[in-house]
Amino acid sequence: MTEITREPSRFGIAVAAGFALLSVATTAVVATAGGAISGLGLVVLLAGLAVASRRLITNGGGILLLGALYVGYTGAPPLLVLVGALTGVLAWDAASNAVSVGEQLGKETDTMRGEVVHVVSSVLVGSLAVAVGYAVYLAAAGGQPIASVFLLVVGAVALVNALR
Amino acid sequence: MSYVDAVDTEHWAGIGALAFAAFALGLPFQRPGLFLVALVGVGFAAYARFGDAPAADLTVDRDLSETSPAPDSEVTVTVTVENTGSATLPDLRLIDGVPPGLSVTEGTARLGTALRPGKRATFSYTVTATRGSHEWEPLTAVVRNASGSRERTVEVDSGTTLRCLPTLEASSDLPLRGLTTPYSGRVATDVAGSGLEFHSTREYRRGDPLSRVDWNRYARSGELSTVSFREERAATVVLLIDSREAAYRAPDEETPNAVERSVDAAGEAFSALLSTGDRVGIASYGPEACWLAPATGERHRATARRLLADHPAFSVSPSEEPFYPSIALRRLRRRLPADAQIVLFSPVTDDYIATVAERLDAYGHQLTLISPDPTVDDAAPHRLARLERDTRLRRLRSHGIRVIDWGERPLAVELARATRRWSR
Repeated sequence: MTEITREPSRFGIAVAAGFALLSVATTAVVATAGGAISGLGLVVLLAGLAVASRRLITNGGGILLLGALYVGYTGAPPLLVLVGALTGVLAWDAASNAVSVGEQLGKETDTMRGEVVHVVSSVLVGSLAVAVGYAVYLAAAGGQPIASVFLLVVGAVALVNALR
Repeated sequence: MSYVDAVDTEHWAGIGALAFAAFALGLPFQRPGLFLVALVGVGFAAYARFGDAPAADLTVDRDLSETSPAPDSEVTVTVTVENTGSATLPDLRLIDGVPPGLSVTEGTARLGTALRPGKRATFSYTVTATRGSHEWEPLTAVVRNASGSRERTVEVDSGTTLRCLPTLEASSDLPLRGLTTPYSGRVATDVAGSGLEFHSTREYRRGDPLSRVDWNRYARSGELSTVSFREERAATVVLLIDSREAAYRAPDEETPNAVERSVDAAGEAFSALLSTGDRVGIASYGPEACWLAPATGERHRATARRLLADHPAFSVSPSEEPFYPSIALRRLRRRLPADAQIVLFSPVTDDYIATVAERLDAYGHQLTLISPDPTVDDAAPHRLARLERDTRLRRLRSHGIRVIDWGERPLAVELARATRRWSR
């Protein structure tokens, strides 16, 4: 049997790199230090894709998000922080999925359709979470935005636990 | 179809930590952005927890471009998978169960896709046919839920078989040894009589045919004498194939193993011997017993062709059955006709088969050994195995057994070389 190459698919690598670059760009616009942290995350993530290591990819995704958190700490506009964090999560998700597809099906196999569905559904779920959160934040902008967002998070955690 | 319980893939492991870290950082510094990031984390955690991997109901249909191809021809396999269940399969990974004896030469026998109920996915790949009957193993489908957090493995069966019969082409005559039957054939014996090759002259006796009287000598000296020729007779040959586990040796993954080469060579020899009027039979020496009594005729040829193609004794991978060498040898000796020669096909990878060859030769079945060489000399242990095999072959030759050491060149070339050596 012709051996399949157990490496991440090209499509998965492209999507992950794209989201990671977007995340770096968003954080760099706000704070250079945040951009630098995210840039380091991007490098680690790409290295993880190159050697098909899920551990490196998780570390890379973590560093990307650390950059987004730092930007959030500096008090940047919430929308930019949100986009940075969301694209970071999506990059990590796409990279990790590409590695598992590569392990099971190999690089030469046609895996486009399955991966597109995975990425699109992740994007939809992430955008929904961002939209709901940001809408509540904007609606409460006149009164107590922090308290309302705080309560929203607590409520979401309670809901997730109830779903379990 | 068999189901396995869904398992966690840990694809989203760690997303909770993001929510927690963002929340913990946001609380003391009062940053709404961080709370919102925590909300993204919680959203994805909920997504990962939402829904199990669907229980897939799939039907598989394999279409071969040719179901009984000739050896080494390319067969395109088109696999169509239909989602007959009611659940959408957002992440479906298909791995086809290509038979172990076949190799995929173009494309991959895999596909990653998503299928709604009632929809189909198709993929195709090319395999190179090898001798034998190959049955496809179940297709393995890995189903994940949309988030990829849960995974379930399903095996879908669809009986597909590819039968590939060898062509039995005679490439070259196999030189036989002197043991023959009383019937006329093409093996020159030491018996004086009618034939082609000169044997001796003797005094004329009444009743000798006039055509064999040496008239030249009569003209010279006035004495009548008769010329005798070597009688040509047919032989009975049993092609014995070593199919023990020790014979399944190959230099590397790509090259056919020694049993495969033995079976190919036996097919050639069978056809060549049958067309010269000899009686040919086939036997295996291994865990799976196979015996085809020596005979002649077209029907016999067809039987042998089927036997060499898909008898379990000659399968491409070793049999799992236990092997009792002395019982097998005793049974083989009982079955062998007294005047049968043996052509043994064996890589001679151990001492035991060499002693079997010596014993069969000593029992009066003159033995010719055709030995496909599976050794390589790339590392010390391999080189040692090659030396050991050379020693065994030398010992067999010193016992008067004809040995053809069949390397990488075609068998016909080795046969021609050996025939030149033996006739000298």
